[in-house]
Amino acid sequence: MAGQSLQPSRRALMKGAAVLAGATALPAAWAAGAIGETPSRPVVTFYMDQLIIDQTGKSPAYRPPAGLRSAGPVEHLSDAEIRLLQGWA
Amino acid sequence: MVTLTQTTTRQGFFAPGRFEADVFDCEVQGGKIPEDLNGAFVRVGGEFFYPSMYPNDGGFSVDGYISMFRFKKGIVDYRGRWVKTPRWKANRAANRQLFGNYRNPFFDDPSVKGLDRTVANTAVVAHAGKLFALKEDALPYEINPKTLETIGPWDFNGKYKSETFTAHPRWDPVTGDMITYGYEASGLLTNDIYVCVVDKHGNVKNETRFKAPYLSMMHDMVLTEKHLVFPMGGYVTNMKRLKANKVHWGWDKSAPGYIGILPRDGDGKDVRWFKTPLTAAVHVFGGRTVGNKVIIEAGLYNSNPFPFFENTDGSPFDPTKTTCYLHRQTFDLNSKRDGFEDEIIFSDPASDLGKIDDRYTGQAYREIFTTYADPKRPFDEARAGNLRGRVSNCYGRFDLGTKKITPLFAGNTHSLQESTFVPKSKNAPEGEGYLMGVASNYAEMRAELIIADAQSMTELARVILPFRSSAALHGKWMGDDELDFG
Ligand SMILES: [Fe+2]
Repeated sequence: MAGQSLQPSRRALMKGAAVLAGATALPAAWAAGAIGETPSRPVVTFYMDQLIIDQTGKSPAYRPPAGLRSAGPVEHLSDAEIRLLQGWA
Repeated sequence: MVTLTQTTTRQGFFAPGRFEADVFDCEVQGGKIPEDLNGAFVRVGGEFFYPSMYPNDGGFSVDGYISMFRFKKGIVDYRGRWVKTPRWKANRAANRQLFGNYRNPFFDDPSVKGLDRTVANTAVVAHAGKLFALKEDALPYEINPKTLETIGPWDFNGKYKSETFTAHPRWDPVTGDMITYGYEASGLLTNDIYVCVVDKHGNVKNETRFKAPYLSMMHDMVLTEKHLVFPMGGYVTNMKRLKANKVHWGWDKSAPGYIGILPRDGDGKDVRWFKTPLTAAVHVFGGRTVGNKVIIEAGLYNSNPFPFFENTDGSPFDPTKTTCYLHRQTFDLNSKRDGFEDEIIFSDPASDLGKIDDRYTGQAYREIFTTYADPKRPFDEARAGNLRGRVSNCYGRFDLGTKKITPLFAGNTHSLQESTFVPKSKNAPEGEGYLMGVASNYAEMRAELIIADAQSMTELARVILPFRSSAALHGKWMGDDELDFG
């Protein structure tokens, strides 16, 4: 086990890469926004099952789910279990 | 090569889908598909295949995408196809967007001058054995029900005399007649409304024309046993707007609302206009004529609900001001006044995208099925984003007699699209049958078709698509007795 800790598992790499990609794609308003805040500048918000830019800035900013397209949903699995799930792994 | 800029509003679940799809024998969870459901739940909506030419163009200009869940003996297949209008084909041939803003032809690429600009993205109907994709700016586009490939525009053998055709025609359940209309009927910026009755065989049998108090969007209508009811108002347009490269409609909050009532046995000169303080009337559920009164039910917004139709006073669109409540409006035809009674019949907001049992069109009905947001229901923000209280998470059977709402909760990562009602049989009592509609699962990044018992509002089964489906505007159940789906 000690040897494994020196080399990150595939899922750790995948998760790290996805989180990084997600973070760089996030507009600043999303990262800063939270329900209840009333930003004074345009904000990306959720309206009628779509995202829109609310020019009044009155709506709560939309924050996408954490770990979307990341390895979040499988992070609790062992490497062996992941190999069973993914034939190619 | 196309560059789809990753805009702030087209990310994650809301990113473009782009593909056409066939899924045979779809995965079903939670139960079995009822074997008496034979036909298809057909929907249309869409997205920009190529990005819009101008940044202020909006949701009503997206390329039409028609899809269906085909039910046959307990098995469900899914098919999705772009509506291949002349506009879509021209764009594909050029590998770019050639069309400018919504219903504004003046800033299109010169190569498409005179071409039909419709995207056929709003609603689907079946009539006289044909399937159509509709948009209110053009003629219906006929679609092959087996393949969902586009056949072309249909003018009812040259007998339909309007350039436009509503997305919401209605059917007389007794005669099978389709009652339809077009506004801006004689072309861009004209203010005439053409009303047409097409018999159950697809032949035009009656028509008339009238003018509105002013040119405005007239998206839906009510059919009663004796009258047609046309709500309108608030949306305005003119040549100055179009020459300034604006989208067709602006929202003028100082403009009055009107409701036109036309006797079905009269002609255009018999239309009577009632006047109202402005609310945004987009869709209506239904209505009836009782003696000398006409009564309708509709979901009405207290302001313009569409962010892409800007306010003419220059103020920004404010999504926090667009709440929709279910109203009942009563028009007294004996009255000399132009006013009418208006009451809010349920105290909580709900969507105007609702349905009644179509067999009760024009008559008294008891039930409305629509969607609403219940903020008290759970929402998994970690898996689906910070949308607690903001998603339409329930279908509801709204009982107009008891004023009771029977809910169906879609799930804690889900947002619901419009539903459709399917009667259990031709002679089943009102509302006895199935309710079905698509839920977007924001955590699993997929679409799920919910099938429920419409009386108990309990879920019977859920069809799972392994992808996000392109957002649909309107959908309708079409039985095997209406169309040949193969
Ligand atoms: Fe509509």
